Amino acid sequence: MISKFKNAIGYTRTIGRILLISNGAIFVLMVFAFYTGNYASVVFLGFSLVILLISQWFLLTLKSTSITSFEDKIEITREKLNYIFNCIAAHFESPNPDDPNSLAKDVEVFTRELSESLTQCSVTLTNQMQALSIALDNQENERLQKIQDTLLPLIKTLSDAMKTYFNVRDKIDDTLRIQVTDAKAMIERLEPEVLDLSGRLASMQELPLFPVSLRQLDEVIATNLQLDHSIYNQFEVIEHDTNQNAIELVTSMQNLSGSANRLVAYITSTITTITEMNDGVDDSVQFIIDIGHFIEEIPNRIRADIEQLRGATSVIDGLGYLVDSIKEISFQTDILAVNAAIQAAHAGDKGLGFKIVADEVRKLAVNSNHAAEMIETGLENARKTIQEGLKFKALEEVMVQMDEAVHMLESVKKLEQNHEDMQQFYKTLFAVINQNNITLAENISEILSGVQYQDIVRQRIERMKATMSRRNELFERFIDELANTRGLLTNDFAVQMDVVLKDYLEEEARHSNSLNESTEEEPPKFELF
Amino acid sequence: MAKILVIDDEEQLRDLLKQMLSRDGHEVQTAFDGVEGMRMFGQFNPDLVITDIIMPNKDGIEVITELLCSNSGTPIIAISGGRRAITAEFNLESAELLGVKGILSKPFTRDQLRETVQYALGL
Repeated sequence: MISKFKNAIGYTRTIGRILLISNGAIFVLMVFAFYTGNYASVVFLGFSLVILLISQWFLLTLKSTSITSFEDKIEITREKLNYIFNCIAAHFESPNPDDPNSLAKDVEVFTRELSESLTQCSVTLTNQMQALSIALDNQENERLQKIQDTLLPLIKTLSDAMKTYFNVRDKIDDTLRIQVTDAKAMIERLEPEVLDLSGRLASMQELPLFPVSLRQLDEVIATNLQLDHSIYNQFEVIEHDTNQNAIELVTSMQNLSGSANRLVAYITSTITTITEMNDGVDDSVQFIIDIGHFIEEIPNRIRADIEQLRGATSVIDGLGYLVDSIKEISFQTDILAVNAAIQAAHAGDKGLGFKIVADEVRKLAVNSNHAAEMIETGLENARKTIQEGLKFKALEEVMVQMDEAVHMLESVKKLEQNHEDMQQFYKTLFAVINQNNITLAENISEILSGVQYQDIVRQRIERMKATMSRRNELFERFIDELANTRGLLTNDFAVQMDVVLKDYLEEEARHSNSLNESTEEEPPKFELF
Repeated sequence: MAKILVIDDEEQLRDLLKQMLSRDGHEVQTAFDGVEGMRMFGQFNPDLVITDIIMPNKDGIEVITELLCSNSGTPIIAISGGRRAITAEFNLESAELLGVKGILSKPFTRDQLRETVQYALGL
């Protein structure tokens, strides 16, 4: 092949030189014809020269175009080869079990494609060889070298591909041979069984019950599909309602949280007011307690005053005997006066009698003096006792107590105002808390309804589960009976499946009605937990 | 424009409110306490009620609660200046929690009144 390339290069180079020499020769001849005056020859030679130049230009263009086209074709061929190899590899990695002939088909396709590809390559190569043989000249050595470098791996690839192809073909032949042998063995082995089955099938087709079983199976499946459809619808309702319920629950809980937070903030803010009012009440109460203590002391003070007065009275009573003494003195003085009168009447023993009288009068004087002192002392005691009793009623104290009595009225008034404020405050507070409690209760009620709905969903799912269980049980019995009786079914499974479907639909309708009635006529009952 | 019932035990403020609201084109009726206010509410059927909180006989909180429970849907504006330990803030916050449409703390300007009334009437 390489030698052919080299030959082609040599031919092209020779042609180029010949054309160049021809051009030179024609040009010399034209000059000669011009000088000799043979103008017809000049025209002919000029025309020939032009044709040769055009040929040379065409040769160069063809060479360039061919090289580009050849490179493209090499690339396409390479891709095709890769594709074929990949297909073969894929087939061996995962053969198609459903179609035993696929391998043969694939081999045929691969072979054809490979053959086409090789033919195309061959044609391309031939064309390129021809084009190259024309195009080669001294200035294209570098380009030719490049093409040569490209062609060498391609040729090697083609050679390898051919080798692989032959290997694959051999391998495929072996595989096919083995498969055919196995298949023949299997057919021989299965032939009696197939014959037996064929006989059985023929006998079963003669029985009237087999088609009946198939019909029943049709009916069972149709009813089951209806059941599935109903359950699917129910699931859709549950999904929609649960979604809606979840949104409502979240909204209610947000409202509840908001209301509770507002209420807590409000109650917290009222603590200052409550503290101020309590302080005011405490002050007033303390003042009234003080006044109370003062009033409480009044009986004691009165009692003390009475005691003091009693003391004074007893002291004064103690002065009573002094009065008697004075009376005695008065009496004695009276007797003395009488005796003196008698003695004076006698006037006998002048001086003796009057001496005695004088003594008595002296005693009287002494007694009188003593009595006077005692009276003075008693009076002094009485005065002191009374002064002691009046100590509690000192003027300043009385003034303070009077002030307190005046302030007490003020305190009572203040207390009354505090009471009014507290009344107003707590009335407002209770009104707000009550109103908010109503809101909270409504929110809680909504939440409870939502939670109750979840229980309804649970019941729906339980009914579906029970129905599915009944359905499965029926299916199991159906399959068992079908297997055991070889199609001679004794039970009407279609009717039983229909009963399962009707029971389910009726139960759902009954629950749906009871739910609607309870929501229309009365508030929701929380009874299902 | 709108029929407004003003309930306030302070005669001076009552008259001033009537004057200001009438100047804005509203038809205004007044009451001196909650008892008279509720009676007039039934007769006058107002579009808006403006009520003081602290009043004799029946206070503003009772008026608000009754109106809200009656579901009349009439918007309410609460006004208050507070008294002794009971502050205006407490009264107005309470009214707001009960669900009034607007609140005004005494003293308030004419613009504040106009703005609150327009908001409560949805104008």
